[in-house]
Amino acid sequence: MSQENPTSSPPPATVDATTSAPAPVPALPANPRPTLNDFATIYQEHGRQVYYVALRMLSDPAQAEDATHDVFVKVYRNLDRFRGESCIRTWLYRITMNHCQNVLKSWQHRNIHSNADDVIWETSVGPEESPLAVLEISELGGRIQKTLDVLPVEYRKLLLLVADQELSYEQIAQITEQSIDAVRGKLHRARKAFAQHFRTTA
Amino acid sequence: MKPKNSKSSSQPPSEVELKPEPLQEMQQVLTFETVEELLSYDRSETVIPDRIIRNLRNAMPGQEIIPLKPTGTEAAWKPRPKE
Repeated sequence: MSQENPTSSPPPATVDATTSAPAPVPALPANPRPTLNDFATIYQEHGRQVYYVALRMLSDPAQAEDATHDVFVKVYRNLDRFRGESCIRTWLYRITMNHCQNVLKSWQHRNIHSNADDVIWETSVGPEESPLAVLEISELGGRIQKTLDVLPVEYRKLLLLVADQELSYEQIAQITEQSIDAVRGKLHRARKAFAQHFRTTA
Repeated sequence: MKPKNSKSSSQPPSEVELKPEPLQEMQQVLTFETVEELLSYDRSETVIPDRIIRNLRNAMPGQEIIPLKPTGTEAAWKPRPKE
């Protein structure tokens, strides 16, 4: 797991166990320096994104559940190291992506995709801008998963990140540790590859 | 997240609509202009298993973790501004 600013260790906050009834949690401030008291809010605001990215990265609901749990346990344990210099969303995505990548590396997923696939997608031609029509809504998740599964992991990561409209290209570049220009270029090819393959899944 | 939504009877036929399966009920066609819009909709519709919260509560006693907001509460997709 990648940690930001691991040298900073403010005094650990105490857990507020006095609140018994679940209640709507307040939004975090714009430039948050969260404490353990904010953990529930962090889960409330970002849990869906983390689970969704894990689900579509790992292509397995059970593994996505485990990954989401593990990511938030890591967040809980390392919250005092987060100095708030970057957005907590960026920090969470980085932890999630690193965790999923480790899971993917740890088992047979790596056997499915070879570098030869990259060449196919890098050179693929197809409509990127034309609308994607979906008739069978119930099958949508399966079609999306099938499509993502055949894309290179790099493309999958970028598409899942760019689908979060609250992330800027700059933040996506930070999370994936590459330049903004590289993100733009790969996203262009990733969108094209996705659209091309998605139509074949109908 | 509001994709374009219309009844199949009012849409021009598309490759997706020409599936041979009989349609029992009125079906909807959702049209997404971009891949990110499609994925954003998929995320908003994805069901989050309750087990995650139960396990987190067990791992972190004292944290008042409440279920995530129900689906459909996400803001409509807005194209990312040119940077």
